[in-house]
Amino acid sequence: MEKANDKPEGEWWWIEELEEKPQPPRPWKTESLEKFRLLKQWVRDCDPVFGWPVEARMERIRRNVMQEILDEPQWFTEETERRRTKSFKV
Amino acid sequence: MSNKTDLELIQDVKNGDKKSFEEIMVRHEKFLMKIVVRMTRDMDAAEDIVQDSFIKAYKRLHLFEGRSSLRSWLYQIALNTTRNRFRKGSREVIGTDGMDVAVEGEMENRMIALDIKGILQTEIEKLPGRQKAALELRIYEDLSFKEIADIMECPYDTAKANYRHALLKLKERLEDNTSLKNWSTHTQFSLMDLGFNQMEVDG
Repeated sequence: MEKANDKPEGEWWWIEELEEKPQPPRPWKTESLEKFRLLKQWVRDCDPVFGWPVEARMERIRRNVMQEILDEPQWFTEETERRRTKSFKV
Repeated sequence: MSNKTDLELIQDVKNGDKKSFEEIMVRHEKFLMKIVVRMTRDMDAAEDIVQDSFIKAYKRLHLFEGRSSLRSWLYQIALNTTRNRFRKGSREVIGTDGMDVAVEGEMENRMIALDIKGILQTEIEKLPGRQKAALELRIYEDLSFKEIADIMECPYDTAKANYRHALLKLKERLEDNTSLKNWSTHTQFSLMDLGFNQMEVDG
């Protein structure tokens, strides 16, 4: 059975605790860890995109892109693909 | 939405089925838009950038071989498009000025929340690019470190280290601030509950 003083030393323990959420939860609860939990919550609360209606723009973006794509001839063919990927691969 | 993988959809597009590109957009557009809005704080600019990014992606689709995920590749295109767009002009960032003043009873907490929000937003902006990206992808997009590593094209441990450094830095900044010297679990509250995250933005 783990005791509070089993808390590992070192620079990574708190991030494992914060992000990996081990099950069952470990017994230690330090002020430092609680601060990181709170900080993470506050950062989440500060998301500058929260409440911005980004989805309202999606349909228009999609429509414009598709219009541009469908109006144009095929920008590439298997042949150009073979030629161009010789010099630059992603 | 089909059950096809991104790679299968890409192959369909390469084979001439341009409409498959629409499904690719549906899968990734919200992620890209949020990332770009965070960088620009400007919905109109973000809309143009995301649109340009998808068109660039379509034009370069023959170069995509699937060594990274499609999302990672689109992220890189959007990042470069945003940088190019703002290279010539100055970026306008919405500040916290002009927000409602608190009601009397909650004044203290609201003032602390304003401090915290102001400090955090400023400090997040000041983080080195890769630390900021790791923080935003982890906390705002809820991605795993594996996904973040893929998107940022770095090893898993590097993604995690960037995130760790970002959080450490923010914690230090809060602790350095004299007005927040005693911030602790005793001051646990959500900044959202205090209504400071609602910004008026035209749709």
